[in-house]
Amino acid sequence: MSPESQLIPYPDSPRRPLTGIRVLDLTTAVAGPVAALLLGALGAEVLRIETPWARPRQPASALPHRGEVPDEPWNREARLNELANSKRSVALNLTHEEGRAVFLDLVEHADVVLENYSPRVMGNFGLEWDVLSERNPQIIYVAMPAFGKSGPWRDRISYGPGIDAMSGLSWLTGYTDGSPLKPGNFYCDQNAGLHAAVATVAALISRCQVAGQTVELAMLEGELQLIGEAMVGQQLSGREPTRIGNEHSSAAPHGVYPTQPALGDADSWIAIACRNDDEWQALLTVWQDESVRSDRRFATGLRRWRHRAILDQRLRDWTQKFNPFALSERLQEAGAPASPVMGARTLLRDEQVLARQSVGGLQHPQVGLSPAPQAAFRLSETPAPPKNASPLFAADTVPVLREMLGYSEERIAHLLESGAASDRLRER
Amino acid sequence: MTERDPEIAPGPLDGVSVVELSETSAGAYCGRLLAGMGAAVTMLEPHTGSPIRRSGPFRDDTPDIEGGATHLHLNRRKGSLRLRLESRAGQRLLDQLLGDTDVLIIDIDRRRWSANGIDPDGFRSRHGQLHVCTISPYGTQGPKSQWLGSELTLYAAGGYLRIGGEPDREPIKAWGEQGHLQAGLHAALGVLSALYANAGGQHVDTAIYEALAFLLGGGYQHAWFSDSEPLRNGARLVGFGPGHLYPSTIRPCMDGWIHAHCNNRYPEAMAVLFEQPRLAEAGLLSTLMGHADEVDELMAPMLMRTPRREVVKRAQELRIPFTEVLAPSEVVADADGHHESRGFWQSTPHPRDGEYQAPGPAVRFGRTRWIDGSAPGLGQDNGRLGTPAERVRWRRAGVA
Repeated sequence: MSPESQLIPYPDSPRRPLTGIRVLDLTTAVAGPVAALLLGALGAEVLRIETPWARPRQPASALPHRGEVPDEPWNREARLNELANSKRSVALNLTHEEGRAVFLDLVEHADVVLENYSPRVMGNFGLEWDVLSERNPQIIYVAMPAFGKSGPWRDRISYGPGIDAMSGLSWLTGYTDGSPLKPGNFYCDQNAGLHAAVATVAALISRCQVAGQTVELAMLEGELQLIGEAMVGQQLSGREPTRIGNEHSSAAPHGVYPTQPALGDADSWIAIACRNDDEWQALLTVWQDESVRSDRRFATGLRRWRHRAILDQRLRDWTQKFNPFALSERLQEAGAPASPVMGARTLLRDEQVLARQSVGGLQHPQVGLSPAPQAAFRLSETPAPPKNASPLFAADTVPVLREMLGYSEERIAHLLESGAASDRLRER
Repeated sequence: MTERDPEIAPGPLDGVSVVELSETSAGAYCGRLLAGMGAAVTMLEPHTGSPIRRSGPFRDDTPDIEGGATHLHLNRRKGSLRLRLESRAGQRLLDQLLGDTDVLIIDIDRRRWSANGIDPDGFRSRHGQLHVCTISPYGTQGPKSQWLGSELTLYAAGGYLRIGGEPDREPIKAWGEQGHLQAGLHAALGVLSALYANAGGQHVDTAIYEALAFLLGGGYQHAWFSDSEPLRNGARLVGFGPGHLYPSTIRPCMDGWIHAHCNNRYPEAMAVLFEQPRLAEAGLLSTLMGHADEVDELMAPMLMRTPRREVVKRAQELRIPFTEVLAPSEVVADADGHHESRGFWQSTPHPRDGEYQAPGPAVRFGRTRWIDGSAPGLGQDNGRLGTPAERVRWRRAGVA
């Protein structure tokens, strides 16, 4: 464990797998931007299409200003710094006829259009699949509606945490004696983003056979994949599954136990999971307590599970004497699965995170070096870590109009003047 | 080009062959995604069957190697070969199979790789176009690469455990095997990227703890710039820095719970919904999280006298994104017919008798399709291995 947080800048990678692919990213909130940043790291050129007034001038959660550069708080918004990495920024007004015309010109030069509006919005813009595919038969149009593009809930609105509730996952998540809880902060969004990235690459693979196509990723249906065994299981057993917190359905000890404060943090814990007799015996080689070893209530896996409340209390009494990092190492060496309960702060100090660069640094012009996690796989021949920090607002509007679309200086000036496009943040 | 008939269109991965060695839901979900998108996925199982088969619930609570809920969900539309990899002959057979394989998924305990002849570099050197996807708790490199991991300890190792639960209690993870399933998703993205890159066979080295660390997203900004950890926040969103949003929370109502989502927007509509003019006053919803307890109190009277379906109906009419907290049985029962109208639940034959409703497509393609099927019987495809004479020899030797 490093005493200080460390951030190693991500290396450049010239051989990313989606090099040459261009994505028009119309997404907002969390799910769509996650899909787009994954595609960006994989090598796609992602143009984040933002409305000219998209960002608040004084965001509530602005990151610290680096000092020696212009102070533009809208370029330091924490959420965007997290979610817009590996992209470029183009400001277009799709409610403006000329803005839509520019977008359709971009479609001709793109491979993927990605959006997560309510189902009716693209139609209101006049940018349905038929229109896009007429301009570019190879285009892949990925939509990420909350409930799907059909069905009685089609026009309901929801964000990710609301879908967690509708999927059953919130109902299932919680303490054994408690109410439903969220399964994470934006869990459904992250899950939908990953599914959409998977589906997009699959559609690219099949493009040589079927040209472009639509891809519909309903956030709800993506999340239902993750609790399929609960849905199938309740039909088989006739019983509703219950909230079990950190417990295992048949093994003990299996929980989270308090420890000595580590790195000055009173909220310090260790997770220990003994799934079989071997792992229990491994725990006992470190937890050298004869009264536990000889206690008949803990003699078999079934007995330990039946008496888990007593066992957990004994274990809590023991773990709270130790540092969670040192104790985890001792338990792992003995063969018992254990881990300190890490957090973002401790992960930035962790030797495994540093060795694998699970979280690396991206250089932002107004914020400086900023952390960004990378996807959980490493490709041996075509590495694909995050490639650039969140772009400054509209920084790429003019270069894209000029170089990608070949517009004249006069036309660009007209588009900026009319408000169809923008090279800076505007008032609505 | 017109839309293809979805009944006859192939999956986007039609023609891709995958061999899956999975002991956990991470590899199994990676395989399910590839199978659903049209790849031919064959599970390679030990004689006792994959451990996934032993995960319940089971019909009538009777353990059944063919009828566990996780197997019936995650292993649909896969084949199964029963093979003794501990034997040299079994390892040779695997190597033979890999000659016609595009992707090998390895998700078995690293301590048994050697005894089972699992050697990702060796496989790749003998089969130049083979993509080898390993899924392990901490990845194959780094000081913790030999550490053991379970769903719970990896939740802890990836930092996602810390933000779940009540602030004055121990942190808790989400239900099920979300960490392993997320790792399966990452692995699938890595495999597809390798297939698309067409740069020769690749090693796709997936670490389960990293799939959880990825979920922390903005938490790293908070930690890097303020050197502090956010505290879990019960049913409310965890705030990273000063930008707490409210309400995005689960609240009790007359007959259950609803998810209330407003996040400092729609103050007038909120005041109408709850018949509480205070909710529209400047400084309440516009003050981030500062009045969360008061907002809860203002919502409570209406919630406690109104059924959740009615609460959500009224909120949605006002374009406030509230939803019901549904139990699994209610999701399957589908009272509004939403899933039925989309053909989501798939009637699937149970291996013993009757049918069950299984989740359908994760994604819907316009010109290719998602394909579902049944979970395979253990070793159901052994008959397609080798010649009849070889099969007799392997059976006698206890290999296959």
